[in-house]
Amino acid sequence: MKNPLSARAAILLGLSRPAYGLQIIDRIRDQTGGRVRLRLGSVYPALRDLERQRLVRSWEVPGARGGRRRRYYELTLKGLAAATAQREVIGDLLGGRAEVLPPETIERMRDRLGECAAVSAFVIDLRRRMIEAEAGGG
Amino acid sequence: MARAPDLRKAAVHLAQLLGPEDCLLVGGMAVGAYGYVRATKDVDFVVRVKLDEVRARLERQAIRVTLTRGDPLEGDFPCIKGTLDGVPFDVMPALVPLDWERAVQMPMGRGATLQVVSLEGLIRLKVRAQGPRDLLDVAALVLRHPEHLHLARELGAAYRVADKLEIWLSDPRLKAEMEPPRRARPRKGGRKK
Repeated sequence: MKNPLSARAAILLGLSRPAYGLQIIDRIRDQTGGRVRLRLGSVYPALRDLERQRLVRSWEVPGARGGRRRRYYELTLKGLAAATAQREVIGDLLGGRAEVLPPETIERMRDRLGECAAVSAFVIDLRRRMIEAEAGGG
Repeated sequence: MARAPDLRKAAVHLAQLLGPEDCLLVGGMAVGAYGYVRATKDVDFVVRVKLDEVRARLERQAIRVTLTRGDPLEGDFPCIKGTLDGVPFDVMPALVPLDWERAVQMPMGRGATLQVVSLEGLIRLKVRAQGPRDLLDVAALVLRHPEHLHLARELGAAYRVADKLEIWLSDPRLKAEMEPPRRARPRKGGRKK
C-alpha cells in the first residue's frame, strides 16, 4: 500500500517526543497501525528539510557505554503549530483518543490541588514573616 | 496582617480569564494533583492560543503582565508573567506536543472547570525543562505511577539527563515517600515468645 502521508507530514505527526531516525520510523508505524511505513532514505532528507525551515531542531547524544552517538530531533514551536494544523486534518490516521478518569480519581486530584495550595500558602506566608523579621531585626 | 494567597482560587480565576478550553494547568500544582504534593510559589499554564492574544485578554482585565521571548532554536520559549490575586503566574505555549483530548476536566464548583494536563504530558514538559526541581518532580511522579517509568527514562536519555534522573529515582527518601504503600501481610501463627 502506498503511504497515505509524505515523509515530512508523517514526521511532524510522529515527533510527539524527541526521537532519532529509527525511533521516528518505528513510532510512526506503531501510531498508524502499520499503515505508514517510512524508510531511512526518505526520513533523513525530510528531517534536514524540516530543520532548514526551523520546524525541527536537533542535537547529538553520546551513546551509553561507548555506543554510537545518536542525533535526536524535536519539534520547535513553529513545528508544533504545523503539526497541530496537520493533526486536525488527518487526525483519524492516528489512534489514541481521550481516556476518561473515574470520578473518584478526579475527586482525589482536586483534593490534592487543595493540599498543594494550602502547603504553598503556608510556605509563602512563612517566607514573608522571615523577611519581615529580618528587616525588623536588622 | 496580609492574608496568605490562595493558589487554587487564583488558578481557577486565571483559567477563566484565559478561557478554560484554551489552557492547561501544568507546573507544581499539576504535579501535586498527580500525587506529589509540595509547595510551589506560582501557578503555571500552557495555552493553545497565541501569547499576544493572551496578553490582550489579561490586559483587558487590567492585569499587568510582561511577555518575554526566547530563541526557539536554543530550546528557549516565550512566556507571560504576571500576578493575579496575589499569586505570581506564568503562561507559556505548549512546548511539547500535548494531547488536549487527554486533559483531565476538573469541576471546581460554581460552574468553573480547570483542565489539568495529562500525566504523560506533564512528564514530557518536566523532562524537557531539565531543571533539578523538574527532574525531582518527574522521579516522584513515576515512582507513584510506575507505568510511566519507561517514558521518563526514554526522555531522560534524549535530553541527556538520564544520570540525574536515575539519582532521584534511587533516592531512598523519595522512594519511601512516593512508592504506593504495600499491604501488610497477615502474620501466621502470631508472635513467638
